Amino acid sequence: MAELQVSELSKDLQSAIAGLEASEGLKDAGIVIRVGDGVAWVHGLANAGYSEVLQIDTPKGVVEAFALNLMEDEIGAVILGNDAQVSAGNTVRLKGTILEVPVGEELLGRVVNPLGVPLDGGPAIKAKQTNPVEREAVGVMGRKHVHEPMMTGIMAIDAMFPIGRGQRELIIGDRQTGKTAVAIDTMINQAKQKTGVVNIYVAIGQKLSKIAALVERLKQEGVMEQTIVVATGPADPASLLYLAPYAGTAMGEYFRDKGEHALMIYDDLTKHAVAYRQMSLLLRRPPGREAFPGDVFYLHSRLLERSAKLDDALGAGSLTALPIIETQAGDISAYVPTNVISITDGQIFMETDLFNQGIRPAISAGLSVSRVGGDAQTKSVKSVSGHLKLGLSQFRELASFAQFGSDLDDATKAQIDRGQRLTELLKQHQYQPMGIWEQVASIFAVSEGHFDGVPVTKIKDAQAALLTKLWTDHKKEMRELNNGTEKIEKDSPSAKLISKAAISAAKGFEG
Amino acid sequence: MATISRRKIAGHVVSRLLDGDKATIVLKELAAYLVDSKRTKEADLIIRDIETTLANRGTVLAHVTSARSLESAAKEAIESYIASKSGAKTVTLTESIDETLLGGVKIEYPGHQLDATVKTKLERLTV
Repeated sequence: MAELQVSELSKDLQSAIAGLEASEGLKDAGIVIRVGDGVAWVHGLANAGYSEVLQIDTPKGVVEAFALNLMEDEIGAVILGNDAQVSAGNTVRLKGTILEVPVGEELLGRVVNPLGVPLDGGPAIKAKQTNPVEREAVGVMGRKHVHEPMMTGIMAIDAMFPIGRGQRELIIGDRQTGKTAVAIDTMINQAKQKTGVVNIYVAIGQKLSKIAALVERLKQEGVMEQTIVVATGPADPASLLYLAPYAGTAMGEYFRDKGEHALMIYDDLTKHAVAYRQMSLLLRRPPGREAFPGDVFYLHSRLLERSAKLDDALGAGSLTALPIIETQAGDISAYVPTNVISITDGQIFMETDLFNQGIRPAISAGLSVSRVGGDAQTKSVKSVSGHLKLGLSQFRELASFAQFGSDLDDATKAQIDRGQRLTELLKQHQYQPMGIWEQVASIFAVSEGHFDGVPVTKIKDAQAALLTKLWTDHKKEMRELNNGTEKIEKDSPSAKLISKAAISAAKGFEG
Repeated sequence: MATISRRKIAGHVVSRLLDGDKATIVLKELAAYLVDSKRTKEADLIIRDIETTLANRGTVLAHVTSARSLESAAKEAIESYIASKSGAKTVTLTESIDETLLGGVKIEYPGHQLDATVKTKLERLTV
């Protein structure tokens, strides 16, 4: 036993000595001339490239930074760690690489920072592969049109603003309107419907307590095994907040390039732009509108362009993005919101008024749009939800008109009645994403008028009764319907089945 | 008037020196310019820039730190190493002794560093 230990020890020692012999060789070196606010100004290093990693030798070990300002006399570098360790006069060396993060299956179920360092107390991540944080987006020929559905499980979205794999759909709204809730439900739905889509949630400057609660919830719902959380808190340096979405996207691209499907959630890009503004101002770049630097559009366009549906030749993988933007008092004409609206393929607009009226998710039917999702909508949902958006928008207009109390003709009354029922139907609790069959049956029952006799306040109960009835009596048919390939037409067997169940379910609530 | 970049100042000073102007005169003029333009704080950096520019034009001022004083053969080897790496025509070596390095040498010349000291190696080993 003792002998074995000695021989192992000597092996360790020998390998350590072998490591000693290797010298790092001649390196480009410069010095820190001044440092502060997370930015180090470096003299020398004429060979440094844009966004290249610099290693600063401090008495407490090496601190990394990346070069963003390459000027005639000095380099402005943003420090990726604690800037209090760095002081003027420290030696700076070129690492010779741009920033890279570990990628791969090893990260699934983990909470990491934008450099791939675990934050969940688990073991270090031993990924086989690393990818650069900044990568060029796929070209024109490498892409295919968006045609597969990315079901969110939220009826209002899947029916009216369908999202496809490879699409970029913005979630925009004031604080406390349920933006993150939509994103989380979408993640949960991927696990519930067993779509195999990998979720990557990027928290940019989110309260750590909120991230912890989120991770706990995802574990409860069984989603965490197919999720990577890239977390940065308000106390992290701006450089990490800036890197977080790019690092998360690099992790997502790994799955995309393997022919799998991944879903990116950037929560939220407003804070990202603010972090970049901080860095830019400290780097003494000239401020523009709202003090944002001139390249704040490029900041988000190059990020979101990496989300794509790949061509079959490249494996047909996809990366879907759900960026989140927080507006101030519903102002979508501010700088960053307009930028991101123009970059993305549509937006889901959340309204405070609707939220306070109890219409949750508070999705505005008039201002939301999905520009490419139509082709990607599940067939069966598409067949029942054709007139939903128009009907709902018209209802909102009519309803405000009807407030004046004038006498209404029967047709208008009927439209308002139907609208109220639809609005009620589209309300959905958080963490309860719905399957395809549930959505199809609910929408079909209301739009065919089977629930017209049910009072508006009882619509949700009638819906629950209908779904329970269908599931207990026709499990097999509903499972088939859940594939989403079947078109629901008036006389199709499924339509008859749902109609019959809806009429009998409605009976219990009429009166 | 826009401030003149350090690189341009260094270029001018080196040209003058290589043209054979007396170093004391050139430096006096440089000092006067720095005082006049209130840039005396940059003196150290300008010296570094001058060293870098000199190196680019074939004259390398290198510094070697070691734990014990080096033999002349070792110095010559270092000089020829620097000359081969930097492509310099002349290499001027200054030397200092730092016993805390334990062994090995640390070579520094403008823009580059070679740390082959035992101390650094041990530090890297503990990490």
